[in-house]
Amino acid sequence: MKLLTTILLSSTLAFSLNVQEIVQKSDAIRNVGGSMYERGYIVEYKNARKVDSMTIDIYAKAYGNGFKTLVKILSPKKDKGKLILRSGNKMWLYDPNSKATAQMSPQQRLMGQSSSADVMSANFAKDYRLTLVGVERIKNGAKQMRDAYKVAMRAKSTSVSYPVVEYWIDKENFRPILAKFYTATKKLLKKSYYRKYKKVLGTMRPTQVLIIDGVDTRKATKLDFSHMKQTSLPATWFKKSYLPKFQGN
Amino acid sequence: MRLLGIVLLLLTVMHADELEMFDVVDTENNTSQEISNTDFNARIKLSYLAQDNSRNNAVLFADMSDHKKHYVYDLRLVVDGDVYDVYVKDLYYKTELGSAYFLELGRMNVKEGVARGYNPTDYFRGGSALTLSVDPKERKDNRLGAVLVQGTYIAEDYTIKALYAPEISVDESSIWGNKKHFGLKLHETNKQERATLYAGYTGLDDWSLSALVHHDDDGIHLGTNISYIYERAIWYMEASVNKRAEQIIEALDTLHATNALMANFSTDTDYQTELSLGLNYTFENSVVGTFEYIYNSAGFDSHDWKTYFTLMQTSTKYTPMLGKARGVIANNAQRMSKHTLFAMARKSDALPNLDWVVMAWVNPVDRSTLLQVGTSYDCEDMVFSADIRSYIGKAQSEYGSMSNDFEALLSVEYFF
Repeated sequence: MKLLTTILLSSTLAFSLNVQEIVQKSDAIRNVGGSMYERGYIVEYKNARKVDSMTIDIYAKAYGNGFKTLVKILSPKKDKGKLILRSGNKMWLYDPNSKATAQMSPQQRLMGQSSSADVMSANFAKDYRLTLVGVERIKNGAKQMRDAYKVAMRAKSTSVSYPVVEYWIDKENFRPILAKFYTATKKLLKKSYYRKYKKVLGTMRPTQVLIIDGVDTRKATKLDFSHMKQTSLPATWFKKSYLPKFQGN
Repeated sequence: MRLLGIVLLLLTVMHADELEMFDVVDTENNTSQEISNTDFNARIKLSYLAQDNSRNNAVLFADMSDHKKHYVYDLRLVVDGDVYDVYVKDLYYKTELGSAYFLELGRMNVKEGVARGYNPTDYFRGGSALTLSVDPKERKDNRLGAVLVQGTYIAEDYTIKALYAPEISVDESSIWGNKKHFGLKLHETNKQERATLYAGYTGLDDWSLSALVHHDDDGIHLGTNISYIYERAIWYMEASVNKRAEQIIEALDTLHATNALMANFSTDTDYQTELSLGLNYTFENSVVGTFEYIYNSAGFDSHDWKTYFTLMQTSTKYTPMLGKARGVIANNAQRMSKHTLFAMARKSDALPNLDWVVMAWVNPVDRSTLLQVGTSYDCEDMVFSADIRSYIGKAQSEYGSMSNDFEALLSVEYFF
């Protein structure tokens, strides 16, 4: 019965929206166009106990079909002032103590289960080849059962942070619900639930991402976003050479 | 009562699905926290170095730095026994001339290079280390800047930089030199006139490229940095070429050694190449590994090492001078041998708040190794760390001939 529903719903969909449009609409909810600022609070949990936390400022600027993103770490004190810049496939870390800039992999861990890529704006519709698998009924971040498009995504480029992703998008309003991130060999790395939708800059957007480890589900990392605003940001901020000169607002 | 609460929490967690489990613990409203967004940093670090054949040593470091709109400073106090010194690591003025042009003037720590173990194009690296660590990142972190002026132009896909550092001759006993407690050590950081022209290009999707032309007392150096990202791997190559003597000759010359001693080594001047070729890889378990091959044509080959050890054993009049020459090369942050392998593995949060790092420097010819195993534990605003170093190899090998076989560095650091 479930299979029949899935097939019927999928064929109905094929006449209305293609998968590219579905993911684009979902991307527009996760990302703000133009230039934006927001603050991120990251808390790592293990066995239901808080073990670490981090506060970051995030600056993003739309660039072509993608984004350039600059993250400044505000706390903990030992990491204060470190900058992470993502421009296209490349990512750099600037450490104000050593005054040195080093290239890093987007998969490199930021804190807990979150990699640096998780706090960067990303354009799934552009970065992945998309296949609409069907419609499934799943529990969203608020624990309500919802009909959701299930989209299978394969990275177009080797440098995209996660090679294989399964993505569930609310069928009614295109809100992201859940993403499962896999290695190229389909080993589950982590799951991200998009939660706590609030009206931000005129659109209902997720203000929390809950990341659960793919192997050890006792490990979870919570990313809360606040103070989101559209703002004009100089293009120079998003250059590697500018990192030692960066001060922010 | 508290125990009962914990049991109930655990039971709830065990029987909940992953979202419900999380909601049990997600009670903290972090977004209302006020966090200061200044660039002021202050920290204090107490290190204790235990060595098997040398004096044990406790050193206190205190650092204070800030990054303001028009100036940057970074000051360090080092207390070693009853001796204390204040260092000005950085102190410079900066300004923007339009949206793409920048000018900086003062004492600045300038760093270049994509390599992780050794940076041939880091032309300002020598003569100013302020650390007990062998970690390349720590050594970069802990050195005095040089007095210089730097202009930068940042365009869409490329950057051009030009910098000039004058030679500064000072009275060594003055505050500009090595005056007790407050010497600026300009005679060390600006002992020669230097100029660098840098061009960097980042317009290609997966590649980063840069080229450098540097001039100092050794003449013109041509340098390049290339990196390429593929999936979880960052491949890199960093190289520098210039015409000069072997580095042992340069070191002995600095020490005013006799021609008779220098004649034991090749005194020819030739084009010398320094090259670092490596891979930085992030594994699925979040271990970050680095493997690097370092070539230094001006360094010792097996014949030079043999000559060195023979002289050390048979000519006691040369022993102190040769020992000092090795110290000069180390102080210049140059690699002693022609061939070196560097490997490092680092895992953050291997256990909650506990990181570990293992690194090794290997001379593939005599198979001697410097191995360091380290761990650090974060506790609120404090970090406790322990590094254990072992120098492995025959008595007449690069690392086996070091004065210690074993060292342990214990540190506690507090961030204000």
